[in-house]
Amino acid sequence: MTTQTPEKLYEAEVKQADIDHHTPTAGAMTGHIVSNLVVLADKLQQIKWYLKGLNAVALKRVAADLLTQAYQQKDALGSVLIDENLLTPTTQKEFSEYAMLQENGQNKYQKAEWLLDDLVHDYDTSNLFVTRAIKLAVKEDRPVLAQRLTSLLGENNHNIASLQALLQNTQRRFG
Amino acid sequence: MSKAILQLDALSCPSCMQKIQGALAKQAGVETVKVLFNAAKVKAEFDSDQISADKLAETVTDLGYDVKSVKVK
Repeated sequence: MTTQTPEKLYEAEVKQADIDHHTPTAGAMTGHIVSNLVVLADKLQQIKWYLKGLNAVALKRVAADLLTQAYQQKDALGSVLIDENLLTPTTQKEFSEYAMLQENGQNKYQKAEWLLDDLVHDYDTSNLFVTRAIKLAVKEDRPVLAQRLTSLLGENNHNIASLQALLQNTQRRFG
Repeated sequence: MSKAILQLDALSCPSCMQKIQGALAKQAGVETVKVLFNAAKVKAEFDSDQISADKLAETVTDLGYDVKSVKVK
């Protein structure tokens, strides 16, 4: 049992996290993915609440399903990190620091096509981290983490294809 | 105007690459900085009278990141 205070333990965690980000490690890279999922969930929630237009009912259902999926992915990925004795971000400050996806309150007024296209880019940005994290997890002999990340990559690719189909684009043709 | 391409670790974190981009952009004499995430490269256009490619690489290493190679055009 540790005798260190929460303050000292967290101080050591922040120091280690900084080292891990410079190395880089699978844990650090996956922490970015968790943070991106938090921002993505906020964006999906915004779409579910505010989207307007003739297809609003159907597209709000799409956003709702993706929102549920993002919450599940974040929870599952964080759990794997804990299981692997790695660190996962847990606070809004950490999520903001580590996320690359960007949100904006004014986006609620954007048209449906713009919002779906933005989501496609977000899943693609997320994959920048996922593909690297998979390679790092394999390199560090963490097969369970690699497996979860590989599933996430497949889910992101499916979401990109589905959203692109709604936009009448092929998978890799961004608007 | 000179151009430098800094090759970083292939598995560099994309967020860290954004931080590197910001740090380089702040250097006097640096005109533009572009990050190629998939290739893990940073391209910078700079005035060689004000700053050198080595100094650009030093800025990145001072942040704690490895620079694998530097090409100047």
